[in-house]
Amino acid sequence: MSDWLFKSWLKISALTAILFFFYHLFISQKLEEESFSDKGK
Amino acid sequence: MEQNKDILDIQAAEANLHKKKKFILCYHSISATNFKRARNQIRKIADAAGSPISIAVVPSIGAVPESEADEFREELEKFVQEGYEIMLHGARHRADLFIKRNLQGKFALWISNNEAEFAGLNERLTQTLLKRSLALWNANGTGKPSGFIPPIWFGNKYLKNLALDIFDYYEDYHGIYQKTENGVKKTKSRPLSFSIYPPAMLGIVQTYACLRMLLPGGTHRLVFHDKDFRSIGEKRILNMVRYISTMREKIMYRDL
Repeated sequence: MSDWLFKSWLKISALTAILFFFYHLFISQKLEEESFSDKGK
Repeated sequence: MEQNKDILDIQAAEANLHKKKKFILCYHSISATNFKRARNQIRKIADAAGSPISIAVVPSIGAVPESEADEFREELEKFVQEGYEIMLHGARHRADLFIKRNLQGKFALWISNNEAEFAGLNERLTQTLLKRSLALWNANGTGKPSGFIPPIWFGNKYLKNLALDIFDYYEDYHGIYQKTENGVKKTKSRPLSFSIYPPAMLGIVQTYACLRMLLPGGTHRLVFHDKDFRSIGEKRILNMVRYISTMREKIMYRDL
């Protein structure tokens, strides 16, 4: 039971880290975009 | 034509969905020493957000020349007239090191570089400092501030009640407290601030802030300081404001 729990936690943590990494790439690009800056003006 | 209507319907539905999620946009620590830079930064942020924002003002004038102090007062008045919301942000944003504090307060001073001026004070000293803060505002500002934000969000166990006796809103790290007829209403909210992080962590912290705003729950506070314009950069800050404004509706404390 504890082994299953640990493996599940590990998988969820890894998946969260991967998703956060991709979101980080997306945000980094978004915040640097010139066109995005101009939209509000 | 029909297709255009569908797109408009979808956009309206999305806009309605986003409006359920709200955030507060607040510029912290405008003072007599930095207001010349801060006033431009505040107006740029408000321009990116599409409406006036909340401003946390440090009311102490300090040792600036009288001509600059007058200009600072005029600028505050202008902000109030333009619809910006004023929050009081301590008295000097600098702790008096000769005042007695408890151990927690001393630790707060250590980690905040002596900026947490209310941390660890007893009730009498808290009340005195709070009154000094308001007196400084009355001497330099116009109207009554909506609320009180302790510097670095470090208060003490007396500050919340004492602040709510004077102001309508008070906030700490965990939430925003509002004075109502039935007592005190708490709104769950996290401050998303960047000024205390080292440059190497700023990218991750910005992603975390955007993610927090994307996910449901809470009326979080997006907080910018003068320092952020040098460390993060104006373009990224304004883009972040625009991006978050597409996900959540910007409100002020008084709209809570």
